[in-house]
Amino acid sequence: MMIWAGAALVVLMALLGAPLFVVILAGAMLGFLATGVPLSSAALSVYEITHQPLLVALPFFTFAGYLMAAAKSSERLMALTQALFGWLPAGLAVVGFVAFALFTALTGASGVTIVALGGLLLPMLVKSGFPQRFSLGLVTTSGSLGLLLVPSVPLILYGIVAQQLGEGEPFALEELFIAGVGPLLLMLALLSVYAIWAHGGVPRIRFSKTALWKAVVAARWELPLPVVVLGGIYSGYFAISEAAAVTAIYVFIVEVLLYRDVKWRALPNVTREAMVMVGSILLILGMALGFTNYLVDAEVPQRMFAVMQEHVSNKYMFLILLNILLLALGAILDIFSAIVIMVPLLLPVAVGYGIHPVHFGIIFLANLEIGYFTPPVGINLFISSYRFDRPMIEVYAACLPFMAVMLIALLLITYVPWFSVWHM
Amino acid sequence: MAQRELTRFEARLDAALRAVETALLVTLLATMVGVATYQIAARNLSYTGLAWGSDLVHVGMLWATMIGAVAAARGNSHISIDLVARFGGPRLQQVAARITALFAAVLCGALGWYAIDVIKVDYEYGTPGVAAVPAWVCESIIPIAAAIMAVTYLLRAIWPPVDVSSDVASVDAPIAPQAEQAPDAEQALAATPPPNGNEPVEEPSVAPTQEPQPPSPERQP
Repeated sequence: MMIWAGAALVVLMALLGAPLFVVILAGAMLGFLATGVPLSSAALSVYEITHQPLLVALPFFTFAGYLMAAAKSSERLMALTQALFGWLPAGLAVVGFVAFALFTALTGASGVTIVALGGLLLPMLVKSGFPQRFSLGLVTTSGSLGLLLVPSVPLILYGIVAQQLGEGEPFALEELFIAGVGPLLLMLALLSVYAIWAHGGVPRIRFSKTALWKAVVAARWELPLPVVVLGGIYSGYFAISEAAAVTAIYVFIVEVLLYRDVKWRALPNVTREAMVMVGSILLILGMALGFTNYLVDAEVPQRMFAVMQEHVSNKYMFLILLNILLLALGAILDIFSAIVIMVPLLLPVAVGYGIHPVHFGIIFLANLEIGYFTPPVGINLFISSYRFDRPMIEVYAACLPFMAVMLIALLLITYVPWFSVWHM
Repeated sequence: MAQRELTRFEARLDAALRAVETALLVTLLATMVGVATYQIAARNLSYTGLAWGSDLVHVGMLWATMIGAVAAARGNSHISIDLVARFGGPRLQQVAARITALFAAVLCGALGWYAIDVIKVDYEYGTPGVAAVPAWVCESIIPIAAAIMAVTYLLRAIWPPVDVSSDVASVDAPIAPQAEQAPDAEQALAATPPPNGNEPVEEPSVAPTQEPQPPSPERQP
């Protein structure tokens, strides 16, 4: 009885806006009280984060991302993608999708893509003849595109949490990284087809070798970045956490010493902001490790699976329910909390239905990606409305066609596992 | 509501705390990156390396996490569900902010209290930590940070910050700093919020310092 009253209080606090790490801490402590586990386990689980060797990748990649966001990388990336894809029908829209995906993979879907790249692209789109509404929808929805692309922090975090659980077939993080590429290409393809179908008649830009050369020269130090991130991992010279450290150093050298975009005196602040972000994510993760221990001890996922099986007979029914649940969650819960809270609950159930953990991760992230711009509370909608000074209703309307396209992509990703696990 | 401006002393104290946090975070990150890179170089070049190198990096991460969390608590930028902040009236927002701050203070206090238990055990057993440093020293940041956060939230519950709408920040708060820096890091630095630890903005703080503006001419095709 006391426990239920406590649980109700915790939920109420969450809805009133208490910090999520506190909410999860409270949930874990309640669980420990109910099962007679010493409460110091909650504190111990924070220390547990030091026993997760891969986690170190998070601060390093986050720092690199914040540094790139503070530099003029967005402009160079835009110029390069424009020179490469601008000549296609609806070329500038295609440019937008590609550039947004790459930038988000590096900096995280934290809104910086919309603010930095969107600020560049939106006026360009409108000027070259795309309707205002289409352009607004494009920059708003594309702000989370790229979550599936390495080294996106949510992708890494999912891998760590799933491996920690050890449910289903074991997999290597490198396999998860490859798995994200197919679904992302599918999304890019469908979005491009939609853009060409809707606005293929917009005057094209002529392909120019000089422009391409200029853009390549301008981005010369950032172009090797994919090799830095991936080369070391796949060649076996360093582990993922080490690749992250090398990326951090490389980006530091490039942005601070070579381009000199980020001044020395701006560095402490950039570092601080990155570490504050990391602190709030990892603290939630630390709390969630304790909470997960409780869930596993109390066999909550098994019980959920048993109940589900009575009502949901097959995998496909389950997948539909999963999609609906995650779309709703994705709109109200930020992605990191969603991963650390929901994956331990849902992954065992999904595995019970015969879904591969890698496929599940891709479905999970693709859903949350759409949640970012699901009305009425998707975070991208607010950022866009504020940044571009447009009413919320207009942003909602602008996003709907893109959302429809992304939902088609989501269904394909969900029901055709091949896109994610062809290599396994 | 007992809202008030910070006194001069408080503002200075706050700025000092902020500077200490920043210095610690920079030092920790630099050390972590440095040691991790040294390890790779040493291993691939001469098959050696520091035996305790990776442990040091992991404990550095714990310290960075806890200090980052303290900074997030003072800036009120911890991740949260922000339905009330977005859709509730100002009155509800103020009440919710105080209640949740009190809740957070109690839980952080509890975390700190039980963390001391963990430390006691490791102290008595002499659990090894990193190199010659025992585990209890590595863990000590947990109760310290938890205590600071408890006090921070308690103060926030008793004397809410001057501008309660800064509580709107929650989910998008981590965005704000990036957004500030996006156009030009220098500009953003110049426009760093005054050191009261709370974003002094009326707007939902997505991009506090940045007005919607057309890109400069050289970015045009």
